[in-house]
Amino acid sequence: MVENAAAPIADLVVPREQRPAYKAWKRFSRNKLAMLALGFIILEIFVAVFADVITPYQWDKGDYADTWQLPNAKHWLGTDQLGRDLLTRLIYGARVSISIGILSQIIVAVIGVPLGALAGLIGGAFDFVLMRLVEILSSIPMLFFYILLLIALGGGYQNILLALSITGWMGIARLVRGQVLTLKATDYVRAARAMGATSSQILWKHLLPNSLTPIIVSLALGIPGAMFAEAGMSLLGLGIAPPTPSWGQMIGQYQTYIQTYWHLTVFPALVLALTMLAYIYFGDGIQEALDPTVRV
Amino acid sequence: MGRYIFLRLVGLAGVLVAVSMITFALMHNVPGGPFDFRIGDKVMPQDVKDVLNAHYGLDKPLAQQYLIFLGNALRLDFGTSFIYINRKVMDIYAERWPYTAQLGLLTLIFGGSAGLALGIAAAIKKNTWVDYMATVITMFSIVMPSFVLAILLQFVFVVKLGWLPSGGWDTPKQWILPVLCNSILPIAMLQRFVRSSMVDAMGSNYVRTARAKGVGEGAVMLIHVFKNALTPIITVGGPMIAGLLTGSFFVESMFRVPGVGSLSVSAIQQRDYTMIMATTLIWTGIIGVTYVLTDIAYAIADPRITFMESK
Amino acid sequence: MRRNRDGADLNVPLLEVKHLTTEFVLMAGVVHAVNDVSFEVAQGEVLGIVGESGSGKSVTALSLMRLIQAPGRIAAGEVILHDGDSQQDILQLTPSELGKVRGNKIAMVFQDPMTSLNPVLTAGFQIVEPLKIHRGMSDQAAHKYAAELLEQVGIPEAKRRLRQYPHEFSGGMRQRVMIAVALACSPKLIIADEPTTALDVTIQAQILDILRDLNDNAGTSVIIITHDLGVVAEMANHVAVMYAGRIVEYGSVDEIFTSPKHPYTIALMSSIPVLGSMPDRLTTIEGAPPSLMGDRPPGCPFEPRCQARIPRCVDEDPALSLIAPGHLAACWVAQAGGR
Repeated sequence: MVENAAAPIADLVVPREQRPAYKAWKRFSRNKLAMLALGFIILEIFVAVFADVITPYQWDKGDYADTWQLPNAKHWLGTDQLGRDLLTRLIYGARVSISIGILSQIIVAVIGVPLGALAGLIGGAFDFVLMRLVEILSSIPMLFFYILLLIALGGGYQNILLALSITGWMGIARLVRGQVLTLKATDYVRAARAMGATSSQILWKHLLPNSLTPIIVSLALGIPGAMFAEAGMSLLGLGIAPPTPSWGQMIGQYQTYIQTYWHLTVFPALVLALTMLAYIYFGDGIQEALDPTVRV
Repeated sequence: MGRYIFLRLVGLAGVLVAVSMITFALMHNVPGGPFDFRIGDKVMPQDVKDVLNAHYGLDKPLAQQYLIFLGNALRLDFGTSFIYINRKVMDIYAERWPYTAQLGLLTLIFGGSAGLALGIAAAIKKNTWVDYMATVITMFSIVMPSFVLAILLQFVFVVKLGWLPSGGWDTPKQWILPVLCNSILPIAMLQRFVRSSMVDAMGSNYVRTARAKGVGEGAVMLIHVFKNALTPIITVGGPMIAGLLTGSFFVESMFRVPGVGSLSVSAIQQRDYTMIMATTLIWTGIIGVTYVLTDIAYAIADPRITFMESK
Repeated sequence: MRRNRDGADLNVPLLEVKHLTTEFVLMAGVVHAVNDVSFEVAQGEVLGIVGESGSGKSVTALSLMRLIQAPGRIAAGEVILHDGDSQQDILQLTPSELGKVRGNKIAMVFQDPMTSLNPVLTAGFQIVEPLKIHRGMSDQAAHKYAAELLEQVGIPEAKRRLRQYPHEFSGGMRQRVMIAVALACSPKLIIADEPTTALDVTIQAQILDILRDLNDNAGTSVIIITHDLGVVAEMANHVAVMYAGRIVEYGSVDEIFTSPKHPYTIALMSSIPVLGSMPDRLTTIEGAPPSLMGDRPPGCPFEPRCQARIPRCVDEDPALSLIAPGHLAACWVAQAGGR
C-alpha cells in the first residue's frame, strides 16, 4: 500500500463510513441494551407528548363511584382516592419527570459549559474564584441542599429546576475546564495559535468540538439523576404538589397504603425505575459509542 | 503529612461554616415565618407571635442571630424543637442515633462482605455468565433510587409473600428489609470497584511474572492480585461509611426505623426548623470528617500522595 | 558423545521449537502474530531473536512458556524441552507439570521491571517465592540464598535490599532483581525479552554482562529478544531474524552480520550507521510491515518492500531453507544463489 503524496483534493473528502459520527452510531446500534433503552425513551416521550390524545381518562377528574380501585378491566392500573385513573396520571407524570430531566440538563449545560470553558481558557483570577466556588458548593451534600432550597423557596416545578440548576452546573463546568486545559496544551492548538487563530476561533473550532464527548455523556447521565432528585423531593412533599401528578409524589403519598392499595405506590415506582434505567443504559451506550476506550 | 491533615481540616471547617450560613439564611427566608400557620381558622395573634419571636431570638438582627446560632452550634446546642416545644433538639437526636448506627453497622457488615464476594467472583469468572449477571444486577442497583427499591421489596416480601414485617425495628426479622435495602447501593458500588481493580491487577505484568515463576493460580489470586486490588477499595469505602453513618432518609422513613434519617424526614415535612438546621449541620459534619479520615488513610497507604500534593 | 557439566548430551539441543503458531482472536479479525516458527536452542548457547516492533518476537517468547492469555491462543506447534535424557512438550503439559517447568527449568526476564515486579511485595518475597515452590526451602534458608543471589547480580547490601519494595530501587537495580528472581532455581534456559530496552545505555552494558556471565560460567542457555542489533552482536552465538511473525533468516552471528542472505536482513545491516562516516541521509527501508490480521496474501511477506524481488516472490511464500552450512533464509532469490 503505497501512498501517493500528491492526491487530488477530491480524494480528501472523508467517505461516509469513516466519519466519526457514523462510526459512533454503528457502535451504538450494536449495543442491544442501549438500543432497547433508546426505543423505550422515544416511546415514552411520544406517549407523554401526545398524552391528551392517548389517555382514555382525564388526569384531574375523578369518578367518585370508582375510587380506590385495584387494577381491573375498566381502569388498567386502578384508581386513586378521588377515582382518577392511575394509568392516565402516570402518563402525565411522565411529562414532569422527562421535562425536568431534560430541561435541567439543558440549563446546566448553558450555565456550566461557558463558565468552565472560560475558566480553562482565561485562567487567572476568574479561574481561581470559580474553582473555589465550585469546591465549596460541591462539598455540601446535595440532598440537603435541595431540601433546604425547596423548603425556603417552596415547592413547584420552577423551583425544582432552579435547585437542580444551582447544584448541577458545577460538575459540567469542572469537566469542561479540565478538557480545555488539557487541549490547550496539545500541539494542534499550539499550531493553530502559531498560524494566528484568535482565542475565540480556537475555542469554537478546536476546544469545544473535542470536548463534546464527555459533555454529552455527562448530560445524558445527568437526566436520570435529575429525575431521581425530583422524585425524591416530591416524595418528601417538597417538590411537585398535588393535584399535578409526579411519580415521586405518588410513591410518597401512597406508601402507607401499600398493604391494601399497593397499586398506587408500586406502579409509579416501577415506571420511575424503568425510565431511569432506560436513560442510564442509553447514556452508557452513548459513552461507549463515542469513546470505546473508556472502561466501565 | 501534618501539613496535609491541617489543610484538610481547614477545608472542612470552611465547608461547615459555609453550610451553616446557607442553612441559616434559607431557614430564615421561609415565606411567612414559622409562626404563620393556621389551626382551623384560628390565626396566631400578633402579640403571641411577638413573644414567641423574642423567645426564639427572632427579633434580633440577622447577623447577630447567626453568630448566636453558630456559637451554640459549636457547643452542640441547637436549642429546642419547634414542634416538640419542650424538648431539646440534641436530646431527640441522641435518642434516635443508636438506631441509625445499628442499621449502619449491619449494612456495613452485610453490604461489605456481599460486595467484596460478588466483586471477587465476577473478576475471577470474568466474561462468563456469572460476571455478566453480576454486572447487570449491579447496574440495576446503582440506578435504583432507594425509595423505589423499598417499595418493591415491601411489595414482594410483605404484601405478596407475607414473609417479613413492613417496618419497625424491634425484632431481628424487622431488620432484614431495611438492611437489605440500605445495602444495595454499597454492594453495587463495591462490587464494581472490586471487580475492576482485581481485573486490572489480574492483567498486570507482575501477575505474568508470577505465573512465569511457576506460582500456582490460587496463590497468584490470593497473594499477588488481591493485595493490589485492596488499595482502591479505600476510595469507595470512605464515602460508603459516611453515607451509612448519617442514615438513609428514605429507607428509615419507609420502613419506620426510628433513627436519625426518619427524624430528618419528619422534621422537613413538619417544618421543624431548629431540627432541620441541626440535622443538616451534623450530617455535613459527619460526612466531612469521614472524607478527611479517608484522605488520611489514603496518604498512609500510599506515601506518593502527600508528595504529589506538596508540589 | 559430548556432555555438558550436567551430564546432558551436548549434541541434543536444549529447546526445540517446531511450527509454533500463535494467534489473537479479536472482534475485528484474527491476528496471526506468530506464523509457523521453528528454531533450536543448543545447550549453553545464546540465541538472539531480532526484529522490529510487531514482528512477533515477544509473542514467540511468551508462547514458549505458555504465558499467552485470551484472546490469544497457541494454535499449533511443539516446544520440546530436553532435560537430561528425557524430554517434554511444553505445549502439552498439564497445569501442574507446567508449574514445575516455569521458574524452575525455564525462567523469563521481562522488558519493564517496574511493572513486572509486584509493587506491594518486597523484593525478598518475590525472590524467595520460586525457591519455596520449586526447592521447598525453608523461609530462613531461602532468604539467605536470596541475599546471595542479589550479590551475584551486583546489588550490594543485599540483606537490607531484600526488605525493600520495587519502587525503592532504580531502574537498573530492578532489572537485576528480576534477573535474580529468574535465576533463583538455576534454570537451564533464561528467556530475556528486551531486557535492556527500558534502561540507560550504561546500565544496559552491566545487565548484559550479568547475562553473559551466567552463560559463560553456569552454562545457562539464553534466548535474548531485542530490536537492537548491537546487543545481538555482543551477546549472541546464533541469530534468528523475524519479520511479520516468521523467521526469515537464521545463522551464526558472524554469518548474519558479515554475509546476510535475506533482503530484509541485508537492509537492516546496511541501515546501521557506521561510526566515522557522515552520510547525507540515513538508509531506511521504504514502506511498512504488513498487517498480521486476517488471511495473509500468498507470496513473501517482505515482497512489497524488497529491492531484489522476482516474479515468483509475489505468488509463492518461501519457506526457511538451507543456503549455506548452518545458515537458513526464507527467500527465493537467496535460494537461487543470488545477491
